[in-house]
Amino acid sequence: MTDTVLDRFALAEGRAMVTGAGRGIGEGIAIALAEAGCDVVLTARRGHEIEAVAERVRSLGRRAIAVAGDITDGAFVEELADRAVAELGGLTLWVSNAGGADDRTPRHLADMPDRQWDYQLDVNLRAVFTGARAAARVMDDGGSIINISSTAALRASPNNGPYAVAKAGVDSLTKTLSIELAPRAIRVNGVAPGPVPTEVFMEFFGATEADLPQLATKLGVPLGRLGTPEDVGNAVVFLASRASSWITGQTLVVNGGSR
Amino acid sequence: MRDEIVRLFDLTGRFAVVTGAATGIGEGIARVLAAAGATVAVADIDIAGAERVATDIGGVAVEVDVTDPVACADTFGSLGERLDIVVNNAGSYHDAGSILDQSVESWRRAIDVNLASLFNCCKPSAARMVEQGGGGAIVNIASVDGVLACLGTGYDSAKAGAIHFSRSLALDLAPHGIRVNAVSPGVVPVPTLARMHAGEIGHFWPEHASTSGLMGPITTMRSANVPLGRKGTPDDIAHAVLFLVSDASSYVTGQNLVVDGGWTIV
Repeated sequence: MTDTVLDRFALAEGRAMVTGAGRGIGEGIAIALAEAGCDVVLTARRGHEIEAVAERVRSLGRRAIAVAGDITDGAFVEELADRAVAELGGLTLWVSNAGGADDRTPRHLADMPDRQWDYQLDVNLRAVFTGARAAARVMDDGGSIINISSTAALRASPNNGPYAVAKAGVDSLTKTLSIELAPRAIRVNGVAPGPVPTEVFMEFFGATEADLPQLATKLGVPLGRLGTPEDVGNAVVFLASRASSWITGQTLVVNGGSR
Repeated sequence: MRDEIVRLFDLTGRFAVVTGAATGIGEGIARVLAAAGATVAVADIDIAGAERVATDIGGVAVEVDVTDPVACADTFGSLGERLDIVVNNAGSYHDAGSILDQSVESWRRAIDVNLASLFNCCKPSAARMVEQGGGGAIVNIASVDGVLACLGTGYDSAKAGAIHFSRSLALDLAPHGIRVNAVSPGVVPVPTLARMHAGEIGHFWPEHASTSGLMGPITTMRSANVPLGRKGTPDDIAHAVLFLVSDASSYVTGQNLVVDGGWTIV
C-alpha cells in the first residue's frame, strides 16, 4: 500500500483511551478517533452514556470498551490502563478530556469553599497527571498523549477560578510531560477549545437552545459561530497522527479566533 | 469510514499559492498541498527552481519578488480562476546576526523580506478572497525565532512580527470567513543552510560573532538539543500547513502552531 499524504492523517491500528467520553466534546473526540481508524476505550461516570457512545464506535467498525468509574480515583485510572492492555492489546493514545465540577455554582474566589476548589483541581488537573502516568506505564514508545485544556487557562476567568487555574496547570503539565517523555518518542500535546455549547457550558452561561444563534456574537467570536465537538475531535486526530510527529509540548487553541 | 475524517484534509479542487517554493520548506509545502489534491502555484524569485518543482507536481511556476508590492499585487490579483489558499513561506536569514555587526540597511532588509513581505502578499490575496465572496485560508511561515531569541534583532523581530501579524489579520478577516494562522518551524536543515555552511553563499554569522550572545554557550547548547531527538523535515512543516489550510481546522484562526520537536519549551 502506498503511503499517501492523506494516509498520514489517519490512525490505522490506533488504540485510544478517551476520558469523559459520555457526551459533549469527549464523545466528539471518540467518534473522530474511531472514524480515523482507532479502537477506543471510553470512560466516564455514567455507564449508560459511554455504552451508547461505544455502540456508535462499533457501528464505525472499530472495537470499543466502556468502563464506568471515577477519574479522580487513582486506582481506577490504573485499572483503566490495565483494561486497555488486556482487551485491546495496549494503547497508542491517551486523551484526558474529563473535566467539570460537582458544584458548578459560579462564585468569586473570595467566596469559594475549599471543597469546590479541591474537587475542580482533582478532576481537571490531578486526573490529567494520573492519566499521563498510567499511559506512560502501559504505552509502547512512539505513542501520544493529548490533554484537553480550555481557553479559560489563558486569561482571567471570573466566577470560574478553580477551573481556569486547573487548565493553566494542564498546559504546564503538557509542556513538562512532553520533555520527560520525549526520549521514548511519546509526544504530549494539548487542545484548548473555546466556546463549545456542551451541557456544562450552557449551564455556566445560563443559556438555552434558543440563545445559541446569538451566543457567538454575544461572546465575541470572530468567526461568528460556536465551536463543535467535531472541531476539537479533528484537532485531536491531527495531533495523534504521524502528520504531527515533530510537534510536542504544544497546546493548539481551537476557538474561532475568540479571546 | 476512515475516509469520513481523512476527507477533511483533502484539498481537491482548491487553488493554492506557495511563496519561496523553489526549495526547502516551501518546496515541501507545495508538494504536500499538491499531493492532497490542490492545484499549486509555485512562486519564487528563482523561476528556474520554481519551474522544476511545478513541473514535478503539475502546478504552475510564477516568478515573484515578495519585497515588491506591485509585483505581489499583480501575482496574487490574477493567478488562477479562484484563490483559496495562500502560504507565505518566502523569507531569508541572510540578514540575521549581531547588532554589533549589522548595518541599518541589513536590519531593514530583514524586516522587509520577512515581515513587510506578508503585507505585500496578504493585501491583494485578502482583497481577492473577499471579492470571491469570502472564505479561504492563509498561513504565514514564521519561526521559533519569533518565540525565542535566536538570530539577532532583525530576523527575530520580523518573525515575532509575523506571528502577531497573523493574529491581527485573523481578526481583521474573520467576518469574511477567511482564516489566518502562523506556523513556526524549528531547526529544519534545508539546502540554503547547507550552501551557507559550504561557503557557496554568504554566511549570516560574521567572523567575530563569537563575541555576541547569539553564538554564546547558551544558544549553542540549546540548538544542539531537540527533545524529540531529530531535526525537522520540510514534510513536518508541510503537514502542519495542510492541517491549517484544510477543513479539519475550520474553527482555528489567529494561532501560531510551533513545529519544533519540543525545542522552544525546554
